[in-house]
Amino acid sequence: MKLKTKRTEILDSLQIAQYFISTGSTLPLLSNILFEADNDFLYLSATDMDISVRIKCKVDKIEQPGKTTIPKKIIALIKEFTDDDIKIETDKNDNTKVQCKKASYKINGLPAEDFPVLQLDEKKLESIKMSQKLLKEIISKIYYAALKDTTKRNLNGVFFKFEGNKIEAVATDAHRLAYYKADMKTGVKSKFDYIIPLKTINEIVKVLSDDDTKEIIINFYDKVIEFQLENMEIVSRIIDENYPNYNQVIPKEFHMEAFVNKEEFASAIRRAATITSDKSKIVIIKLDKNKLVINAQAQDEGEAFEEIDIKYDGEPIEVSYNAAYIMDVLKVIESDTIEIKLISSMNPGIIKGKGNDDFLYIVMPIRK
Amino acid sequence: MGIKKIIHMDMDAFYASVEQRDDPGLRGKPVIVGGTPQERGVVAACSYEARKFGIHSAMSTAKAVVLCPSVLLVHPNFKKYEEASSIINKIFHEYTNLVEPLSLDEAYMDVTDNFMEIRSATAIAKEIKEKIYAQTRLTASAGVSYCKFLAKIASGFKKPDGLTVVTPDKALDFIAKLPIGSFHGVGKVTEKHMHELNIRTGADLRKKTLKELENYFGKSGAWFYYLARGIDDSAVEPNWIRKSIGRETTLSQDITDMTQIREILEELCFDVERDLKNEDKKGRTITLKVKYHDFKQITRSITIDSQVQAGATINKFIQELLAKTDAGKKKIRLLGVSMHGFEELKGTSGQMKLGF
Repeated sequence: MKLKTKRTEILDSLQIAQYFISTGSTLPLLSNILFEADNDFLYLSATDMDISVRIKCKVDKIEQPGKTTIPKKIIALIKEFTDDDIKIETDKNDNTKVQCKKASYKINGLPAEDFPVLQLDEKKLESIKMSQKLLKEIISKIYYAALKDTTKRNLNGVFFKFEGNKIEAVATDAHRLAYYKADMKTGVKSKFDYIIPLKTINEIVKVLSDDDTKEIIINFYDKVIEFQLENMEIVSRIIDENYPNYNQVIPKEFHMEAFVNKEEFASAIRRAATITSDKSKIVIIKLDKNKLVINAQAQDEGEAFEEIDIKYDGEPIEVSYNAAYIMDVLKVIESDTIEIKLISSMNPGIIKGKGNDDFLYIVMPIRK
Repeated sequence: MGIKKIIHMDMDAFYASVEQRDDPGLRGKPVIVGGTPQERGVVAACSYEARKFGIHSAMSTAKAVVLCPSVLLVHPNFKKYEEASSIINKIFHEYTNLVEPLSLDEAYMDVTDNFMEIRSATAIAKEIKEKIYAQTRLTASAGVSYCKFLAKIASGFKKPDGLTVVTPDKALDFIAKLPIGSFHGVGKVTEKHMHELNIRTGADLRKKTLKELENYFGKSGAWFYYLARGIDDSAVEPNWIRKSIGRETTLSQDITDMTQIREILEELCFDVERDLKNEDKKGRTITLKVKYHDFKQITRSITIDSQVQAGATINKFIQELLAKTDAGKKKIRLLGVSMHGFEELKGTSGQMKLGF
């Protein structure tokens, strides 16, 4: 393989590939990036065996097609070059020479043949095309609520359900749950549901565009899912477990309903949270006639009191929450006014944007 | 609250069995899984055939080869074990979410209320064993009882492929015959102490009063007192929260130099501090682990009054504990520092869960 490239051209692609490189793998090959050059393009691939990416990269000139794998230090190296013209040349022993101006580096690689590829099942079940912006919106609204560790594997991901032209997505760590539903322009014939690992979601959200005209193709397989973007393909394993029945924990009827200015509420909670101890971010929220009071206390450390005017004419109620769970959702709601719907101080509560039923956030209180 | 139904499932010679399953050439033969003698490996698991030669896990592979020159050594293949473990874990979760894994091959389950609404825990244990075999071609041994302590001992009773039930009416007889070393919480040091007090079995332990045991063993005294009477209320706790945080290092060369030992320990203490900070935890129990060149391993612990997180403080206690070892006299090959006894996270203690 022999090619010439602009530093910026290849660096962008390499940095995306870097997200997908396995960290702490025992297999040296997985710390490498697969370079494959045909007559027109250079393709870069990286994988950690659960998720893989293949990026199409336009370079100045491919003088000799070929393939090899190069350790990820090539990224740091190329980043440090100051001139834009870079030459990359690999010999038959997979040793790669990287040249820029008068600098010349040799990096020892490994044969491309052994690079593991995430196998796509033989049969693609179906495909769907959707707006990148919509997918990004769905993910950003909910993924922070997913379980961050693997103590419960099925919660360490985001659940997606595709049915007709409807898409539903859910993330939960069993203490709170974020739910989003939307319509797509096109639909699927059958019904698909997948738990996509949080790690995959974290990477996907980084590469999705905010541009409404850009589309993504999702290919459904039995045990994997593939995302095709303009210049890259991402293949991820799915979490092959059952997702909890989230519908049964989303309350449908409420006893109390309050309308609260989002910004006022968010900044009051953020201030009150500063008083709570690091571990227990307990804030007590009291609703009374047209007012909302926030209290927080940390033993021997201090107390917080906040009061804001709201619209509420229900029974007085007092509920304790983890402030972090409340702050999380207030960051993603766009409406100026939020609705808080409660049943009692011991039942799940709902927080959502006023007049918008597509996004719901369900949060469990802290028992007194 | 009625009587609890607890199952302890323990895979038989797990890693070795996986290897034997996947390579017919290993079946029926003494097999050990571990590092090579050249890399100073230890036996991570051994087949029942290998155990006949006196080989057991944690022994150096060098010694295992001496005991049985024809032993077949296989490098561990954790991806395979994890795969099998996740299948097994899935089977457990078909019955209950109250699963407390102790390692890849061992877990407690509380099946008092189970998804299948099966009343007999023995029937569940049998079903699980069958499912494990059907899906992994591996055997497990099960212990069934009303508490964790007895379930665990029961699972080790008839290995491999065993199923032992200890019902409440048989519990006291069962405990009476148990050697004191098999009691939960009795390690090598406590065992020796017990022997000095002429406590050799559960029956001997039961003869001591609560006061006596508290005098001898401090807070653990009450624990032993109740265990001897078949009382163990500890709940099956799904692993939400890590119970200990620790770091250890195997030295590239066995050492006796105290300055060097102290330096390595200090570094480990600061590594532990970083891990504690990452998880926002403070602990009260500090443990020093030392493995000598002859693979003999000891641990020395101290529980202090306040919660600590700072590496320098941990190091202070570790250096005190070091004085209680043979460091400097005997060559050391591994050093470890760990913290336990975390304060329960207040924020999560009352945090309610969604009712899936």
